[in-house]
Amino acid sequence: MPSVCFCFEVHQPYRLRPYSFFDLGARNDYEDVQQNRSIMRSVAEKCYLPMNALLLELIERHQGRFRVSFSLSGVVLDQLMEYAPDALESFRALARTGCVEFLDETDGHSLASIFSEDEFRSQIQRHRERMLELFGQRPRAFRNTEFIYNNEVARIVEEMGYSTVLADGASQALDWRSPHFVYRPRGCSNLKLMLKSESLSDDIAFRFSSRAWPAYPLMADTFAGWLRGMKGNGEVINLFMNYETFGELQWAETGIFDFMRALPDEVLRDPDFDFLTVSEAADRYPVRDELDIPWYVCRTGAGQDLSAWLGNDMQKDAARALYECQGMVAYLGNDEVTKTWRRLQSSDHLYYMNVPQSQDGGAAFFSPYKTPLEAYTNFMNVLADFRIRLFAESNR
Amino acid sequence: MRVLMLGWEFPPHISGGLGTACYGITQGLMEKGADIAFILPSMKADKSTPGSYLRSASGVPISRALKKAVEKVQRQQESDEFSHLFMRPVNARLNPYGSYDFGQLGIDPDVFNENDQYVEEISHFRGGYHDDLMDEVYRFTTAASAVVLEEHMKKRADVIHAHDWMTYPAAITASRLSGLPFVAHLHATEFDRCGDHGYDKIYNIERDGLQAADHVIAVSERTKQVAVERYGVPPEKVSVVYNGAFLHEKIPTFEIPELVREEKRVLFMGRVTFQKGPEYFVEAARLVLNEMPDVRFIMAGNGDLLPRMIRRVAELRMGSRFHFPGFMRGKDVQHMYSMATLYVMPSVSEPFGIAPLEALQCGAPILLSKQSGCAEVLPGALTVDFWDVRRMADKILDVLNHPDMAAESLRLCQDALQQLTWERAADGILDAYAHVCPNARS
Repeated sequence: MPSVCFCFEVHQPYRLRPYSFFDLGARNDYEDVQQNRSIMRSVAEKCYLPMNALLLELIERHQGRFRVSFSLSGVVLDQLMEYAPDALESFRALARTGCVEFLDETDGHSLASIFSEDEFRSQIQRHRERMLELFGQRPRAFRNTEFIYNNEVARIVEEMGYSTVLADGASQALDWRSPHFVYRPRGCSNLKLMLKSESLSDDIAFRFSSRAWPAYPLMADTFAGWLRGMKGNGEVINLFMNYETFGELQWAETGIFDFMRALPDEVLRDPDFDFLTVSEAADRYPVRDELDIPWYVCRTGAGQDLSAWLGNDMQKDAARALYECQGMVAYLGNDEVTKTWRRLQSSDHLYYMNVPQSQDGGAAFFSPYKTPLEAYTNFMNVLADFRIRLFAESNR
Repeated sequence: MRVLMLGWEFPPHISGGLGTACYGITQGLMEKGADIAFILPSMKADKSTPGSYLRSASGVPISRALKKAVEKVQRQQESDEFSHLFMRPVNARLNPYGSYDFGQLGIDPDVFNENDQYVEEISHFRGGYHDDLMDEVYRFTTAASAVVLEEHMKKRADVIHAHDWMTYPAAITASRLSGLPFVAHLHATEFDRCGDHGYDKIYNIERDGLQAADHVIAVSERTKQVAVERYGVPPEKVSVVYNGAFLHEKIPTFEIPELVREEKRVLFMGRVTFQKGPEYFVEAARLVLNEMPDVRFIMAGNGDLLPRMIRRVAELRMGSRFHFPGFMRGKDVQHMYSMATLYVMPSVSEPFGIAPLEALQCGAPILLSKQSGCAEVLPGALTVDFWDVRRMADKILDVLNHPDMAAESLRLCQDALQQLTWERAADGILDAYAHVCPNARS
């Protein structure tokens, strides 16, 4: 009896404003408020508000049989509070249905798991507090930034009391195994690992509106048919995708909302199928095997390693200079400083410094900068100012 | 004294170091009473220009007779030693009206052939430096010659003064057609711009121009030496005239934020290209930061090596100490100099170099490469071989560690700067003219 688990990742970066050399020591407003507000408003109008309304409608219509999960970065929560309180309220309305699970992730949408276990833990802790505060939930499942994962990440996540961790399913570590079962990370005794069903998730997230795709146009009954093909081959079908897929990456005109409106009926037509949140699915299905992933894996589309964020010298220099600040930030213990530092840790800043290697990288690559070099020099100006203030503060 | 100048840059039309120098030279000469017509390939009509002596070669009608005369000169040149000068024929554009009313001034009589006075073409130039630069240089030969003859006839001129290789072919032709002496001003050579990997074509134009010139003005002893050794110009034909500095009456004061007031800043400002030696600055920065981790480095400017410099800084992991503010203009330039604890010009080859003069006026001590012409007139300046990165780092550290020493060097340089006026440069130029025209001082 396979279960379908939707998990939507919600994130929008704080884009930095062009920060000139002459601003060093003079201005500490790093963010491009106007751009961030207008993008946040636009995403809220096109995606968050209509899609949340649709999910609410589906949950009510199916009386508990349609269930989904969400993972919101702390960075997007900040921006929802600032620029789109109406959208934040619609997420809270979903939380109140009891059919929506909220996961934890790093508060700053950061790569802290790679650089500092302490910082990783405190960002998770902070995110946990906010989930309780905003949605009244104590998350039991965890999803790391960009699906960055290995045995070590699993160990920390288990130690922090989570019962489920999410990862990308395209890892070579999976070898012959299918992502449609629940696994146990090597070295863990309770934690369960849920893997993204690569192909089915991307059918919706990337291929849905592609006219070159043989399955175009994708209808809900066709897709439900593909899911039914899993019967006997799997227990969980994990459809993990960016929430901005709905209305932003796939415009409303592509029919994506109609597709989602029709999908639950089509899936539930077969009594062997149901929808579960990720933790519910992890609870229901037994561990089928242990997975040993000693090296870092991350979301696909970014390559199998971390090179999209830490592949070149610019990224390595920026990350090093950023995490060098940790001791000083901890020493100061100033909430404002910590918050600024965390926002600078957003993986997006490093991603903009990525030099796309292949043609497919170019198409999906979005950046507010003209070149990766500009992304680097601008970020380093901001970071230099942050460090100047950090030292000045600590010498006070 | 009437001078017909040919140039490629003039503020505000494309203004690099060359344009700035041309401006200073004309200002200086005009104060000495010279009458100057400055001929440029193109000017934007919408911009107002100081003085009415600027002439654009764009839109100047060129008669059939003139074209023929130019072609004749060109054939002569080809049969002479000037085999490298090749004038490209330009697509003819017939224009039935407009003709010259040339008087008699010792000009090649072919120009006045009455059967050929209809306008054959009107050349247009983009000016500046584009992919079609070479084409514009060749076409400028005919158009500039037309303007020279027209000006010469309007009012008898004494000399043609051409700035750098772009205008040398035009000057040679105009000189032959008009009978006026030709003075070539050497602001930079292909060896300065590209080391030993320059374009042969440009080198050939430079060599032919310098050899054809009746007299040559070099901007430093160093440049004179290049003219003599690498272009085969007889030393007695070359005068050295240093550029002047535009002395500002008052440099605005710039508020430095309190948080960074005590920081030590080392500045590179200029085109980020081979000639300016940016990589030596980056490598020296690494050595300095090893000793003194709280110094801030700035590389202001744009150029083909900029991406490589940024990647190198990242590779050396010093991006939070090394900044790239990009191309600066106007007040930002002075602001930058004013903030600098030290200005470094590590040029691989700098015929003169105007930027350090700006830096000095804004109160920044300077460290120059020994390969910079302006070091000849700034005896107090710190110097280092551009390639000697270790020494460069040592000198930077000296300045940062010993502010008194830096202040003394700055004072000496600023004193020397007072002597570097465009008026003095104009005197030198008039002396150079005197070699080729008898009434230069009248």
